[in-house]
Amino acid sequence: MRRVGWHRAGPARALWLGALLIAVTALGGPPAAAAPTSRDTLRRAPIELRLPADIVYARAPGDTGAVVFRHGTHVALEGDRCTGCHPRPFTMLRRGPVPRHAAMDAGGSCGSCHDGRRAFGVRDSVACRTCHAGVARDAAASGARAASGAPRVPAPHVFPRGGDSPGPVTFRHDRHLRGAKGCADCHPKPFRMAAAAPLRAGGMHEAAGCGACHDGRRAFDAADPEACGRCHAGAGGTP
Amino acid sequence: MSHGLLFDSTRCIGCGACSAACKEQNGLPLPIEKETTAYTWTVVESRAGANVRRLCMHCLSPTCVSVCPVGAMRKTAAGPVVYDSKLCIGCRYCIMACPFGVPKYQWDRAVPVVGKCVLCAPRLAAGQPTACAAVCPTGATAFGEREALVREARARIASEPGRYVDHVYGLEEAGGTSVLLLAGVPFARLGLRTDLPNEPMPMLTWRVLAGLPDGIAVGAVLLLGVHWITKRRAEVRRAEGGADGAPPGGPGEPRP
Repeated sequence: MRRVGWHRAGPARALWLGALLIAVTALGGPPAAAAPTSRDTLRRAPIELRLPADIVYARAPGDTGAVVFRHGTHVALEGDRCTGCHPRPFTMLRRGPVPRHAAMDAGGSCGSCHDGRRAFGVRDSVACRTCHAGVARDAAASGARAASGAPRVPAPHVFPRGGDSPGPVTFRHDRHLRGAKGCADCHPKPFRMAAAAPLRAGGMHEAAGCGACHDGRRAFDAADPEACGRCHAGAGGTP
Repeated sequence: MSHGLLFDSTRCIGCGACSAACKEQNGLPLPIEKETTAYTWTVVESRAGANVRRLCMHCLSPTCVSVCPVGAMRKTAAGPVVYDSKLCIGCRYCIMACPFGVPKYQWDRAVPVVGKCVLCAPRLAAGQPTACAAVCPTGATAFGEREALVREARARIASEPGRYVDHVYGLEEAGGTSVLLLAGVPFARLGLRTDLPNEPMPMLTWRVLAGLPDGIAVGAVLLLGVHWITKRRAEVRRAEGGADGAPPGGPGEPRP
């Protein structure tokens, strides 16, 4: 009795359905041809990333502050890939133990990327506060910051006055991030992320330095004599 | 109550979280390889401008289960097709039989076993979704009851017809699978087979096997009949030879 059942529904119908399926998928079908192609739709369709919540590591004795790990800033730098950090050094399905600085210094945990080459080093004394920034006591403020998605950036860098320089330069990450899409606009080229990396004295006006953006098109021209004061404190020009 | 996955290629950004979580959940060694192996049970491939996951489809009537001579492969009521390496004799028939080329063998081991996605059967038993669905940051891999996923897939196609190819892959392929796929480009271009019959693959075997008892019965009757006739004829000849004296050329002929 069973045999009769699948003889009836058997090869002929499967063949026809299969042929129809192949024809439809191969030709795309007349309605699909009239509609915008799926690739265009794909490009336009925004894919919302639901990343895990911020991970807060409480301040330990000797730290400058608690560490708040954000997935958003890290995944953007990894080209939206999760496999750079998962499942090693960090597990995904359950939270591992609190990362220890000793392990990071030895190149494990955060230190596997924050090694001074791929990202600022975990032993870089200038960068401490980039991670150990502390958590805002006000829950609402912290929520607002998390919602804004603005990354925490390193403290301003002060470059002392060089030989023929009109004055010292204070570089502010926050101001530059306003005009940039993300960290990757300036890192690792022209500027390596390791904060301790020496910046070449002079030549910063060139394309290998600030001039990469300050070319008169993307941002004001570094060579513009009227603009010196916008970077060099105590120099002439519009501040 | 059978569970499954709905993978929506148009929502996948290829982040690899599914592969990473799979490694962690199943204790598989790194690295995450480019294609599925006995140690990498799922990968995301980039094809035709889209991302598509490779993993076991968890057929409703799995060919691997049908061909396994020792019952190492088993389709559970919860949805997963699970594998018991303790029962496996290493015949690799499942590898040959799978229409999706899913089971892979540990060719580098002295005592190898088969490796394939088991739909996180232990997690399902604990009431959790699969690891890949739990970590997917875009919802491209969704976990749920198969009926609900089929409804969801149809609803997505209906609400955004320009975004999807009007077909739910796995709804009927090879008799239906617990893993369903949606895509914005034809499935053939994503490297998925579109030449599979819609009837369960094990039926190909069953059609032959179901005919065997009848064939054996008819054959047996036929052979018994031939045997009876031959025997009878010999008896008749012997009886007739006994009446006429010795048959010509028989042993009863006296030598000259």
